[in-house]
Amino acid sequence: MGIDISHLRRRFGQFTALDDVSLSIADGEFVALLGPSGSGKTSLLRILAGLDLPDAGSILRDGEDLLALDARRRGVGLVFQHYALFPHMTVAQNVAFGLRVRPWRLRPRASAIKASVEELLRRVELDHLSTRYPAQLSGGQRQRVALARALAIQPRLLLLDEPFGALDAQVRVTLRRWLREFHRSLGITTLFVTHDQDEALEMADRVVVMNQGRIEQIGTPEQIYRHPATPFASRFIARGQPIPGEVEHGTLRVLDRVWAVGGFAEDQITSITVHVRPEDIFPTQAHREGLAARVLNVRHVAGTVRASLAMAGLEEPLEAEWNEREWHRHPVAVGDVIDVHIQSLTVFGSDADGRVVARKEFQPPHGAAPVTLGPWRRVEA
Amino acid sequence: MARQVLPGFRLSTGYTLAVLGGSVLLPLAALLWTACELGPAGWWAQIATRRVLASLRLSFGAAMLAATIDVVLGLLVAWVLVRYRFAFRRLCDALVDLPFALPTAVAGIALTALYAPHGWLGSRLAPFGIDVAYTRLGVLLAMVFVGLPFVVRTLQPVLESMESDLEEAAYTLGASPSQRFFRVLLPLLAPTLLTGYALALARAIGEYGSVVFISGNRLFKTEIAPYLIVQKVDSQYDYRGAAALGAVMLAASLLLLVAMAWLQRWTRRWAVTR
Repeated sequence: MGIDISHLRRRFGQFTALDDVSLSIADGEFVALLGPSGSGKTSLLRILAGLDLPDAGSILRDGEDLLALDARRRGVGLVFQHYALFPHMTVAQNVAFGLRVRPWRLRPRASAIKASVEELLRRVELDHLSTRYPAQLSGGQRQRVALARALAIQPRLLLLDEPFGALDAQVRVTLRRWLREFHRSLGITTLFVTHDQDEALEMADRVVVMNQGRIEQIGTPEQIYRHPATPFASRFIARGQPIPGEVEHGTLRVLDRVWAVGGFAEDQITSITVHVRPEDIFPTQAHREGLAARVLNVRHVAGTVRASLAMAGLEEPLEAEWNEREWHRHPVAVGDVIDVHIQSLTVFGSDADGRVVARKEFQPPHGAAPVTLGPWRRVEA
Repeated sequence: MARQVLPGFRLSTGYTLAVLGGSVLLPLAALLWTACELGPAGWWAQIATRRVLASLRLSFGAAMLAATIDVVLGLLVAWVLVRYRFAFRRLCDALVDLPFALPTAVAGIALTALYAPHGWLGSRLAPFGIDVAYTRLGVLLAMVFVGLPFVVRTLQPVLESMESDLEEAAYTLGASPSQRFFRVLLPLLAPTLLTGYALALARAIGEYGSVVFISGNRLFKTEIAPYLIVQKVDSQYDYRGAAALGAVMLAASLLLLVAMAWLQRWTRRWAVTR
């Protein structure tokens, strides 16, 4: 049941928009397509809506071939990034459009259309604005009109293209929560495209990470954040930062340290990528096997402290992130030279084709301090 | 007056008013002045003749019809030029401007040669009982010819800037191609179409050179009002009579353009700002 996308390919000239994309979406699921621009997510959305056709591959909905259906008859509701509201129609006329253009056999009576438009506008909390024109609405209101208009045709699949892209940050956060609740109450299978990690992680049941036309990882927000499958997913979702490293005969060499790592299949590996997350870099007391780091700058961002650290053997500074309370116990200032421990590393081994064939999350043994307390607890003791 | 941030308000506005006054208002005032010298009775005697009324009817009737035809044809031409890519598109695009650039007399002679009873097209249409040259149809044809580029050129930029989003949205909502055109595109293009209509209309009402050759200027049948004005001045040295007719045309044109502007505003009533 649900939607089965298999082996979808789409090229535009030299550019590969979709490269062998397969994905299953269960009924009622709320799925985010997350990726940078040009990753193919919008191409996939347009193909699902029937505005474009793939070069190869199939899409089945409950066993029915969706690609054989014209966009008019697909029963797919699409909310455009810039809403694409009809500017010459009022809010109510916009919402009624999908019902009014039906062939007269299928068209509800005028009174029924009016009733369902009113009901929809009540649901999106815009019933008081039904006679306004789109030009008279705010961005968030337009967004909800577009949503109501797409829902009016009672779609079996709802597609949202960058639903919050054109809104300011404040409205975005409010509307995010609202939309998630709205989806819960509707239960329509929904796929939304976004390039914003926070948005995808906060809203979706499952996140599909896309890059260069390929699916890098599919999983729940927690799975992807905790266990990124590829260096791209790690960088894009978990803010993983690359540091140079090598694996040889069961040992990992990173930043002049050598640790034994077990369970890492080295056979087909031609390249190694090591990532560290900002929150896994902790300041520690000197002389405790820490790595020396110079603080380049410190930024306070609403409850968290972010610092850039220059370290020997690294060309780019590493970003570290601590919460404000931890930082208060052991403040560091610009120019300080501190010792840091790396709590956790993710090691990816790729073959000659660039595919990840082995990965391991590794806790360097020097980070023995309990994470919950913070390593500088011992300074006070 | 509030302080202007933009520099040069006095200079540029003064200049604009001077140019407008000198080149537009002054000649119009002179026209009205000359017409007024006749007095109401003299004025009425000039206008209320069968010949003048027939010419006015033809001028305005044919111009309105021609502008309507221009809107339909112009929409088609602009649509094809903007939406499709084909061989010689650039050449076709350039050809649209030809009626702009061509001296109107040249256009008139060319059309006459083509549609005259012995002309290349005229001789082929004659067996079907269709006479173009020296008939009102000829007048209409010449007016359509000179008005077309106005519609095409006003529409083109608007069509180009129109996002395909709206059509796609209508499509996914289940609208058929004709519903997408009539319910979404046409209402959005209406203000622009009206602008094109007004321009083509203004041009057709005032058109002289290209019409007088193909019309043949037959009494009561194919005489246009500008032709009568030229006649009065040319053969009778009747400047006042010419001015009287001119004043009537001026008033009628003004009325039409005001009506167009009002209609256009109505079609854009949705573009309100908060």
